[in-house]
Amino acid sequence: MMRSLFTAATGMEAQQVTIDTISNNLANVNTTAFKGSRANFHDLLYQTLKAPGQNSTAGTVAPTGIQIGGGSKVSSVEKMFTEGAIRITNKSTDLMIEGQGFFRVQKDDGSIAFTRDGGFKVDNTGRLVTGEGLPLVPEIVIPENVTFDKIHVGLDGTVTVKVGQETQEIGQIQVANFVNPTGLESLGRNLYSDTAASGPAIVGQANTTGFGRIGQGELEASNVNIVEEMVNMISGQRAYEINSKVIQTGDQMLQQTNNIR
Amino acid sequence: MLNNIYVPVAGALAQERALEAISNNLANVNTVGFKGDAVAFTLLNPEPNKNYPSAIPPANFKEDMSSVFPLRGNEMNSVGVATVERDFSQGPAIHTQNAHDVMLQGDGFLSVQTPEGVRYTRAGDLSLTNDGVLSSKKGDPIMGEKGLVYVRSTDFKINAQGEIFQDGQMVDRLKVMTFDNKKELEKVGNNYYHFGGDEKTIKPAANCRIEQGFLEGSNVNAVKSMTSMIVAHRSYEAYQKAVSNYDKMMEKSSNVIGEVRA
Repeated sequence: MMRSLFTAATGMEAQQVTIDTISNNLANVNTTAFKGSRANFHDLLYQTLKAPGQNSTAGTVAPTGIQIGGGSKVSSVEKMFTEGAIRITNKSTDLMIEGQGFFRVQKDDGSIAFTRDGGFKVDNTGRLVTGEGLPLVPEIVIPENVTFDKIHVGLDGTVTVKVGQETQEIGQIQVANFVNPTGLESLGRNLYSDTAASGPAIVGQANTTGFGRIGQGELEASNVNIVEEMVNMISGQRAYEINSKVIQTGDQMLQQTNNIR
Repeated sequence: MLNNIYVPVAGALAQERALEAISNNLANVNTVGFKGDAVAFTLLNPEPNKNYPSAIPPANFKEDMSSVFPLRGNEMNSVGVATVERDFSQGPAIHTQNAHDVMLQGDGFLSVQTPEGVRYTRAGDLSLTNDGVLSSKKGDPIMGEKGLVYVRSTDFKINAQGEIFQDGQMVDRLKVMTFDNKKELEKVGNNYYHFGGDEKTIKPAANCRIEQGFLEGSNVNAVKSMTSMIVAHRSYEAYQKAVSNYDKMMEKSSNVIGEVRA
């Protein structure tokens, strides 16, 4: 059967992934610290009918060959770890990593997950936890009878509280970073886990080389750019359409062949 | 039988090849650094059959018969695919702001170290491996002039000359190469090219700027491809019509000429 039909089908499949990716990005346009994804493509294997540089006759070299391609394929869907905009909230437990790094939180099964969503709350035991109730690692426990306006987080992650007239240091928020953050696995709920591709977490102090500083009273907005996504959506949809036209053409050609007699 | 029935068949097959090339182009209309292909046609068997008798005009015929019937026998030329030419023109710049994205502006190719040997690519959607080696999306290391390129996360800079800086210190320089004869580049998938020609003709690219935070889009022109597709489609249709007419002619020879009339 005509190869073009299958080639165009690979193009349609690839563009479908683009649209899927874009729709997830747009759905998370207001998710705190969300990182948009991008689908990357590569071309498939080629069928070489005549290799370039082959001798056509003795002493003559064919300047170009005949290679028929097999279409395209998604090579990766990659998270873009560019920084989102700062959203000032003035809530003392809203933290943002300005620059690189992730907060470490403990999941229910005891394993460590990573997040850039710094919208922390105080649970019934005084611990700083994520919106889902996962505690920060190492734990930061706010003493009883300390109101929110008495909590202060420094650029280096040092947490101090004011009890009466006294300032008391209760811990330090650590920041983790990775050699290759794009290799992190998205777990949903704004969480990531380390993988063989990301490399192990490098834990360090905020506001030092390679680690961002902690901003208090602010949250990181989603880094999805609506205009860019819309443009990509248009281009993805049109590419999908044009590939469907190829299938249509191939179909009509086969129909004509069938109608010769 | 009419031998010439194979002439339009060859034409139809050639147009099918053309559609295959167009469909691959269109499937890769959003593939980074992709370069489109174009099918070039050639004459096949242009040699006339020497033994074929030339038409003998009737005695009272003034015209030279060869001007009336310029073609004799299987002198008719058929068409085949000569080459698939690659269009190496620059694709559009796409601004991504991503530090891992580089665009090659001008004549040059990134060198990639694959298990099968060195491959070349224009796709600048790079990644890092877990030990900080700059690599292609497939995970093969991108070669610098000193070998593998080690960088840290997203805070490295690449300048127009391809020099890579980490914390203000130059780490390495991207190995950007070009070729005397780019026609000897063979596409091997994954956005890679294999150079099968003389290795001495591989030289550092002199006229290539590197732009970090940009990607080079596919250079496939959708409008042009659609037009080529219409041309291929309609040519195919015309060839089919020719086949169908030959069929009718043969039908006539077997059923009308040999008809016994009462």
